[in-house]
Amino acid sequence: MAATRRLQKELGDLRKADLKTFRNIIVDESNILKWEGLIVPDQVPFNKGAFKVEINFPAEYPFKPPKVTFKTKIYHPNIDEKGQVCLPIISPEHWKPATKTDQVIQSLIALVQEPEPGHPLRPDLAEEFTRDKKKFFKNADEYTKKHSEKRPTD
Amino acid sequence: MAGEEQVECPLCMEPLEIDDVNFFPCTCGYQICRFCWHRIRTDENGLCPACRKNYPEDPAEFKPLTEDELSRIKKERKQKDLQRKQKAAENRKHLANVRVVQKNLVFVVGLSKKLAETETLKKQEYFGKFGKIHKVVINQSTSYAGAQGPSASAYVTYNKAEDALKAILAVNNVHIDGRTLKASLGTTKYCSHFLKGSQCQKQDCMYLHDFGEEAASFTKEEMQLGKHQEYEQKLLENYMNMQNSANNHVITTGSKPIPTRKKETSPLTVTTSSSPESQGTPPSIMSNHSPNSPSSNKDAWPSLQPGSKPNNKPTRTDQHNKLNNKIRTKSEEDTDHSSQITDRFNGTSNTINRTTDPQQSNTTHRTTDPQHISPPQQTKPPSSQPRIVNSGVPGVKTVVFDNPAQSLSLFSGNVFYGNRNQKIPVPTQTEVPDIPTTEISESIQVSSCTDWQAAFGFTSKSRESQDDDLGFDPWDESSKGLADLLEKENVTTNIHQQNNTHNQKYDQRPSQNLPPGFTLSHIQNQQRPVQHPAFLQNELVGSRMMGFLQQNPSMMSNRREQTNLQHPESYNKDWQDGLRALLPNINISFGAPPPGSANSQKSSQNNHKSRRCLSKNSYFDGPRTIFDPAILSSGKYSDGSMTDCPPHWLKSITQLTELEGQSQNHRLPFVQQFPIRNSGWPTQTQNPPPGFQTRPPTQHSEPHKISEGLQ
Repeated sequence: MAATRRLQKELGDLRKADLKTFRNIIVDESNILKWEGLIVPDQVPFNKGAFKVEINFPAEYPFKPPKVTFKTKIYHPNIDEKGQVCLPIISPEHWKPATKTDQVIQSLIALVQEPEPGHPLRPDLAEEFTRDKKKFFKNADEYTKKHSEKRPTD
Repeated sequence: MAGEEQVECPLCMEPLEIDDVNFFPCTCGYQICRFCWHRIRTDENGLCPACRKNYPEDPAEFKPLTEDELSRIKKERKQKDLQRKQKAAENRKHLANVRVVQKNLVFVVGLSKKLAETETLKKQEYFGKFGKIHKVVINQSTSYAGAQGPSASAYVTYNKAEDALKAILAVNNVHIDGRTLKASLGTTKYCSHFLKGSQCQKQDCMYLHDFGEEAASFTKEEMQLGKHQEYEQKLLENYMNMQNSANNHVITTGSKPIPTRKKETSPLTVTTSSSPESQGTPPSIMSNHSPNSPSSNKDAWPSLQPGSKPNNKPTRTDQHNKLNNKIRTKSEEDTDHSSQITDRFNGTSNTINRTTDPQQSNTTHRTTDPQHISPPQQTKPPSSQPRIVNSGVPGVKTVVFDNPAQSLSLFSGNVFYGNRNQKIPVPTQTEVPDIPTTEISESIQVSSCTDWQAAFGFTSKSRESQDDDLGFDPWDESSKGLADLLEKENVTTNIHQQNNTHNQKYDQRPSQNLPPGFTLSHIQNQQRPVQHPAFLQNELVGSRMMGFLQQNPSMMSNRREQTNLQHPESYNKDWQDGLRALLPNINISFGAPPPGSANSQKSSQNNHKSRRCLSKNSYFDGPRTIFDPAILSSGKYSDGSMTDCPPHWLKSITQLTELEGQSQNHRLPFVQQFPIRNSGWPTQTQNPPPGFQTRPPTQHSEPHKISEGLQ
């Protein structure tokens, strides 16, 4: 299966890269189509916590894009309460099979740290983000402390 | 393809075909394989995976390779390959001189020709008992023979490293076929293909194709200094420590491998029935054997323990213990009794053979019977369990040593296993003093057999006898015949001496070897030698042939005796006999003395009696041998093998021949046991097949008739 071969390679590359912002990659050996990882942002207001993320690859990968969902609650305009993310590069209409998973993750981290209020999943947060960044940061910080995962120590 | 490494398609990650190298479907230059290109255009959105432009109808850039280009590319590839190999060869040149100790490889030196068979060594009785064997390679060259005469060496590859260590601990310095086995971890060199950097095409090539562990790699110079042995010692000690800790046993100094090696030199032969548990014979294997065992087991070691027929391999250890316990208890109560039992048993077996021969159709019954038999044995032992340790020790391990000290040292070698089993018994040592030194010297060969058995935990093969029932092995028969011939001479000369010296030993031994069921069966047999055809069928796996042979008219009068003799011989001594047959000289000298010491437990008492009988019978044997080689062999086996079996059949013979006159003593126990048998048969005795219990009376009568008719 093309997906398996490619995903194994991508997984190997990703683990080798040992990103600081994306760690603890867990892949079930019986199902390489489902990955779990921990997003560890290093910028305010989410730099006090970590966020569990699940990446689901379709069997047609890479011809079809993966899906990313947050397993940890996050106070973010582009991530809804269900953990769904609006990430342009993995949207079906923009997906390019040449895109590698590490690019997806990089863009995901970028989105977390730089919210895009122009394409919100949670308009209320987007509005707060655009109108009162201080308030948004404060709320996001508190929310992160309350709900996020523990950050890896090293 | 032009790049240093093979180019992969970025989508499917498959290496690009030669034709794909120049295939660029999109104007953006993003290269994919034609397979993915086709897929995108037909199944997907038809966009370039990189720039999301629609793929044009024809690939933007694609010039098929010309023949010249193709050949050029292939040439370049070959050249690159060659360069790579040369580079690798240079890097690996120094490895040609390096040997790597393989943790799962046992190198055994000192195998007799008989043992130097791949399938033989793989058997459960030999190296198969220590774990699953991946491969056995025999080196028939005698360059390792040394002073022991021509002997082969073998590489036994186990699937697990710890099994290899187990095997080394058990086998090293064991005496068999007049040779001392030396076992150590084997070393392997690098495959010449690997050294050249090329792919080894040999399937299952046993040489190394990857870099070995640094700590396990030794140059020839280092090996001459013994560095690799130090490494092995370390592994062995670690293994033993692990085992000891696992068992919560305190490591005895003796358990260390080094002492065992020192012991090696001593001619001593250790018969450690050895705890099967420790050796870790996988239950699964045992079970497998049980079905097939009849043929395989007996074939491999036909003669060793005739008395043990009823036992099943799978439950060997348990049964062993139980049997031993029972036997002991019985033996303690009546040593004579046990001996008589064994004798009777032999007799029954003989009769069975006779009956079975005519009834070949009974084969199915035979196969089923052994299974049935085994369970009853297990049930029987309840009483003896507490004693297991004690009984197991003496019965299991009978060691014949020239010097007690040596015996101790040997034991130390074995102690490891013993500790694991908790059976390790010092008691064997106690027995040693009883054995006269002179006898020992004579019996050394036998002892070697016993050692071998002990090392492999064979002590009680009686259980395996069931296996014998199923399969008849020509090899066993022939080996038996040879052994018998050889041993007959020995027996006649040595029987009397052995009987005297071994009587004490025998008493103890028989108890161990003989399962409770056996005793009963023996008794019955003695009383009604020809009875129980079904029973006979079960027990007499290999004996059918014997039975036929015996049936010869000339044998008539002797048949019963012979049959009795043969069975015990074959079971108990087949093993030893086969060995002896191979090594006639050795066998002859040993024949008489070892039986008691060697094996063991089962038939010490029986042996005594049998030996006595043998002396009487020996005369008979001579003529018998003339008629039938098998018969002769049986007689010889009993005598020469000295193993438990011989005593059994000897007893049986004596009983048969002398039943009324000489064996009155035996008979008395007989009578006593008889009632027991009747009552206990069904549940207790291993030997009797299920059917047997139900119809003992009829069967008995019929077999007798048959046997008589045959005779």
